[in-house]
Amino acid sequence: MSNDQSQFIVEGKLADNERLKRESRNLRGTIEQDLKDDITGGFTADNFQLIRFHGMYQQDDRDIRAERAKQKLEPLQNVMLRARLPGGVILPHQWLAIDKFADEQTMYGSIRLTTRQTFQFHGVLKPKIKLMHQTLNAVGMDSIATAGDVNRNVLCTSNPVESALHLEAYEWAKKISEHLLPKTNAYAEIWLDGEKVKLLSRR
Amino acid sequence: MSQQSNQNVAPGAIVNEQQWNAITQAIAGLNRDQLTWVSGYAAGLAAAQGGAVAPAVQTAAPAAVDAPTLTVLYGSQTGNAKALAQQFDAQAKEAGYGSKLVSMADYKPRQLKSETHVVIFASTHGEGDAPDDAIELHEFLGGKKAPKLPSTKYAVLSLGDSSYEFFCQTGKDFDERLAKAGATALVERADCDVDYEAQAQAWTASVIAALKEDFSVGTVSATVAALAPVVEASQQYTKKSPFTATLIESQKITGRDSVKDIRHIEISLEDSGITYKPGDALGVWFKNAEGLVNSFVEVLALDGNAEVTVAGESLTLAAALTSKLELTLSYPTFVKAYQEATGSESLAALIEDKAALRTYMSERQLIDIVKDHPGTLTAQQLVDALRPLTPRLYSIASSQADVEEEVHLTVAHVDYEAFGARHQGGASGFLCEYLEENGEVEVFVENNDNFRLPEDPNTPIIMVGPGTGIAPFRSFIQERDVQGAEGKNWLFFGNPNFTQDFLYQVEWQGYVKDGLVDKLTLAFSRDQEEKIYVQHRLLEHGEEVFAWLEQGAHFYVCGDATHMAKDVENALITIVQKYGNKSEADARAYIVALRKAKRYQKDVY
Repeated sequence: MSNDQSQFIVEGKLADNERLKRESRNLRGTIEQDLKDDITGGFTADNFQLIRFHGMYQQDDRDIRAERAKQKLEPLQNVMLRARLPGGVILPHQWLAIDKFADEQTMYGSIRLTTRQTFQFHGVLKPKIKLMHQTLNAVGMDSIATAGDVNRNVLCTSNPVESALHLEAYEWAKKISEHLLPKTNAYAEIWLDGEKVKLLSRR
Repeated sequence: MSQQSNQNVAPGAIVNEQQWNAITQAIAGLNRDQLTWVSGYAAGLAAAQGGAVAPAVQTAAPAAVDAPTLTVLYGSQTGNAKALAQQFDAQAKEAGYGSKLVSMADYKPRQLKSETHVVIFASTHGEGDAPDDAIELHEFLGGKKAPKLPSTKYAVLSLGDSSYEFFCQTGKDFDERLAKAGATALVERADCDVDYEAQAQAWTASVIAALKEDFSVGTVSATVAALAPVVEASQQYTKKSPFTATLIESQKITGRDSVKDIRHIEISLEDSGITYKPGDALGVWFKNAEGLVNSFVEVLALDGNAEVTVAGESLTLAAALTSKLELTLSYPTFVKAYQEATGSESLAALIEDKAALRTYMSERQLIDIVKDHPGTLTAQQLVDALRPLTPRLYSIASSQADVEEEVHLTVAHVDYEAFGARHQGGASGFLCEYLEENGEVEVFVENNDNFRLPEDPNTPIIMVGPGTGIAPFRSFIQERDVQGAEGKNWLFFGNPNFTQDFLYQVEWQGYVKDGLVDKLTLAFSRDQEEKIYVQHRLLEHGEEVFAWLEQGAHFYVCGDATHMAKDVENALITIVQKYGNKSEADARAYIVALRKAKRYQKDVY
C-alpha cells in the first residue's frame, strides 16, 4: 500500500449536512423556537435534520397523509427516537421507565427493539418530546447522536455477566460511545432545561 | 301638496321640460299612497347616487304640537326580529303613520318618555337572554331608573323557540316592564315560535289597525323618509322562497380518531345572483332521514301512504314527515298534542311535572318519546301534533371576495347512539350524510348586521371561535386577505385535540406564514391533564388583549352560547379590570361601551 493519502480526500462540494452543522450553533439551531410553535407538529427547515443529531427522526403516518390533506390537516407529524445504548445493556429500572413512557405517552404504546442493540420510541408528538428526554435522563439514558451522519449506537458482544472479557468489551463500548459524542451542551440545554447529562460512565 | 298643485308647478331649473313631461306622465293616475311611495323611492335613488342629498320632501304641514310619534324598536340576534320590524315599518309608512325604525342598540333609553307609540320586536336567545342590541334598553326598563310612561301606548312581538325553557322571555319582560311603567298595550303581546310568519303577519295587521284612530290623517307628522325599496329587494331568495342550490363537497375535517365529526360543506350558488357578507348566515332547508320517517310510521303502526293535510296542502304521511314537519328537536307542544291524541297516561303524569318533563325532553328526540309512550293515533293527528319544519342557520365560513359563487359552511354532524338507536341532527345529518354531491339543497341568506368586520380595514380584530365557531372567522380572514386589509388579526381557537380537531389547520398555517394572521392562540382541551379552553388562553394573554382593545380592536365571539360565550365575557371583564386598573363595575361599563360601539359582537348559539 502506498502512503498516498490523497485517495481519502473527497473532491467537490461538501454534503449539505456539513453546512447545516456549521450554521447550527453547535447543533442548537432554532429547535427551541420550533418547540414553542404550537400550530404545527413538525420541525422547520434545518431543524428537521438537526434533531437527528439529538437522536430523533421526524416522521408522519404515510398511510393517512392523503386523507389528512383532504381534511385540511397537516400530516400526522411525530418523532421516532433511538436511544444510545452501548452494547444494548439496559437495567430493570430503566426498562420500567421506558415501558411506562411508551405506554402512556406515545401514539402506538410500544417499545421497538432494533438490530442495533437498542430500542426506539415511535409516534411521539412534539409536546411530549422534552418529557421523553427527561424520562430517559432520569434513569441515566440519552439519545445523543444516534441518528444523522454519525456513529449511531456502539455495539459489542453484549452479555457482560458472561465473562470478564465480555465485561471489558462492554466497558470499551461505553467509552467509545462517549468518546464519539459531539462536543456540545446543546442536548442538555434544549431537552433537559440545562441539567447535566448523566453519562453512564460517570454515574 | 296635492296632486293638483303638483301639476301646476313650473319645471324650474332642476328638470327640463322634456323630463318634466315624462315625470308627470309617469305619475298620472297614482293614488295618494302610491305618490308617497314614489317620492320615497326617488329619494332612495338620490341617496344611492351619493353626494349631497336634498332633505326629504315634507309632504305634510308641520307637525301639530302633540302629534303622535310611532317608533318601531327591534332587538334582534339573528335578524328575524329586525326583518319583522322592517316589514311592520314599511306597512306603517304605507298607512301614512310616519313611523321611525330604530335598532335598540342605537336608541337612547331616556327618549322613551317622549314617545307616544312604541312597537317592539324582540327575540330571545340562550337561557332567556336578551339579544345583544337589546341588553341596555332591557336593563334600563327593568332597573331603578325606569321612567313613568302613563301616556305611552305600546305593542310587543316576541320571538323565541318553545323548545327552550325561557320561551320568549325578553318579549315578556318588555311587555311586563312597559305595563309596570304605566304604558298601555295597544294589542295583546304575541309570543311567536320558530314558525312565526303567519302569527307575526296577523299581529302586524292588528297593530296597524289599532293605530288607525290615533294616527288619523291630519295629525300625522309624516316626513316621508327615504324608503329604500331598491335596496330591500336585492335579496331575491328568502326563507319562504329559497334558492335550490347544489352540494359541491362535504368533507370531514376532523381526523379519523377525533371525538367529533365536523364537516366542511361547499355549496354552489351559481347563477342565483345571491350575495352575502362575512358575518351572514346561510339558512338551510333539510329533509328528514328516511330511516327516521320509517321509524315513526312503524312505531305508530301507520301507513306511510296515508293522505294527510299540512297547511292546506294534501300529501302522503311519509312526504309530510320527510319535508314538512319537525322530527328531531323535541318541543313541549308535541308532547301535549301527542298525549291528548293517544291518551297516554304515563305521558300525562310526566306533563304534570314541568321540571321533570324538561329534563326528559332535553335528553330525547321526538322518536324516543314516542317509543317510550307508544299509543294509537291517526296519521292526521300525528301530523297536527308536529310543528312545521324550520330551516337551520349556519354561520357562513367563506367570503365571496374569495369563493365567488360558492358558500362554505362548517357543520358539526350530530350523530350519536342513545336509547338503543342511532340519533342524528336533522339538518346536520342531511348535509353530512344524506345529501349527495350535486344533490339539491334549498338555501337562503340570513343577513346579520350584528356580526360585521370593522368598516376600517386598518382596525385590528380579535376573534374567539372554538369548535365550529371558527366558521365566520374563516370568512373574515378570506375577506381581509382579498381586501389587502392592513389591520392586525388575532384568532383564538380551541377544540379537544391538536392532531385531530385543528379545523382548517393548513389554511391557518398559511395565513400565519403570509403574515395575514398576526397571532394564532390555541387551546386544545384534552391534550393535557387539565382542561384548557379559549378563556384560559385569553387570560394568559390578558395584557396584550387589553392593549389591542385600547388600540381600537374589535372583539368577536362565535360558538357555544351556554358556556363558552359567558366564560369568555367573564375573562374579558377580568382582563379589563386587571390591566385597565378598573373596578369590576367600571370594567363592565367598558364592555358595555364596546358593545354599543359595535366593537364587541357575538354570534352564539
